Amino acid sequence: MAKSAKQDIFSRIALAVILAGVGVTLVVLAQGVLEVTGTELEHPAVAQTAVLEALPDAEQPLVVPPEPANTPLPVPTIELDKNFGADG
Amino acid sequence: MTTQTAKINSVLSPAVVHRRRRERTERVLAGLTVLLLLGAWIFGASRQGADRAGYLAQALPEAESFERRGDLWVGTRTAPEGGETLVGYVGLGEAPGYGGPLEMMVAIDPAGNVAGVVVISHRDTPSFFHKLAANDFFDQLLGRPAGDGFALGEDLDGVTGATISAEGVAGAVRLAARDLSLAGLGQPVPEAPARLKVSLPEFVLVALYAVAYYAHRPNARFKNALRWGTMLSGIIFLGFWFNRPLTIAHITSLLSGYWPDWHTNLYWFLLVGGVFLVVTVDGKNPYCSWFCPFGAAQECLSAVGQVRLTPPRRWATALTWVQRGLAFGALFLGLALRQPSATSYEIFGTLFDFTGSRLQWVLLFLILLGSLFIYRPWCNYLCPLRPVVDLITYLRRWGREQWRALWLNLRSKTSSAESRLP
Repeated sequence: MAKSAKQDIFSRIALAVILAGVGVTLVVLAQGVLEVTGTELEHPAVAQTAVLEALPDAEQPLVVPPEPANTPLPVPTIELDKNFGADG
Repeated sequence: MTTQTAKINSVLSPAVVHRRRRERTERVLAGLTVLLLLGAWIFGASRQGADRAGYLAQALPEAESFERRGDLWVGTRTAPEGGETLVGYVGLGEAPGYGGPLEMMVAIDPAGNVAGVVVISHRDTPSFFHKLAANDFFDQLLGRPAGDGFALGEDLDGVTGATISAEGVAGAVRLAARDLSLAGLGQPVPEAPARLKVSLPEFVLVALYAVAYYAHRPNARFKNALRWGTMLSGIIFLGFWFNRPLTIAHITSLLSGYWPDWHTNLYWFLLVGGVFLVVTVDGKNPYCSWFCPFGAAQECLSAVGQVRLTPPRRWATALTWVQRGLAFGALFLGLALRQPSATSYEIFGTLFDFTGSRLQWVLLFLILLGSLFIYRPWCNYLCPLRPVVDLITYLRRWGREQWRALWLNLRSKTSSAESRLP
């Protein structure tokens, strides 16, 4: 095979690798955008958890609830208007 | 085309006419790019925030009802003996994360301890948050007094590979807890003075800039050895150790105004500011060829392969514009959505942190394989940072030309006015 023909084939291989890279890059970019726009369409409270759950081995949600209290909170019954605020 | 332009073109060689046309097209496209990015910026800034009330029940699940009072919510439940019992206060805090502002909803109980935290919005890579959750970072925040420092490394254990996200979460919780302590409990918490955090990454980065800046000069000694030294240091430190290379997310964050606290993120300012400063002032790119860890990794493979194939020449222009199109798409969408990390399609984390989707692994495989016989395929055909640097360099050159033309015009007018003086 002539040298120029060989070079032509190698150039085409290089081009194919680059174009494959461009294609995959476009999908990666689209995935990133869809992940954001997709979650925004849902209820916001669900959305942030969904981002994490979409990961392959995500086990814990972003929302961390407090430990369930065994005993009732030691708080008195109050009237909010009198006890609220910096000057309350 | 006007008659005058046609006349001028008829006396110029075809090559000159072609060059002039290309320059005019580039000028128009550069202006259009800036205008479209400005439009995306304005669109992104006008977008509404999340409906925060939807998170209240998650922040303080024991409350049955919430009442809005100023900047916070008061959570109550019905007591068995009648009346309402105060369960806690809920408020919001915001601090800079990796990709932009990070907003947290925080609940404190009447005793002043953190009772619940919820991530309202963030612009970081989801895998960073996965790391925080997997390392029980959020659990550390619960039960802490509102006046706690929430400082990484002191009060809280940091998370390797997600340091900036962890700092963002801690900072947002600290601010919210302090506000709640003051407004809800009437207990002001003194603000701790900001302390400058300088550690190994900052020193390494400054050293790499210094060596690259010295070695890129034409008369520098040991140029090749220094270049390989900075590249290998880039792979080891900026890549595998710190995992903090420059990405398009940095540029989008910079343009969006999502600048982190410089006291705790000096590295961010050194990395982004250093590149912008040198490119704008000196017209040289101190990063890509010298210590970009991903570029260096490709160059190492290229040295192993010892073959440098190039795509057919007729494709060169098209591939350049494809790369520019990718960069523009990432910047435009990042600004419009205000999500710098979501549109950052780089695969640096896949190589240096071994995290990524299947497609990112496929892309990494393609690039590493291609690097054996194509010189820096990512840098030359896909990386979004190269077109950004090209645009800055082009605008810099255009600005200088305009300034020079204006200056010469002013000088000629002044001299002709002086010559007319009696």
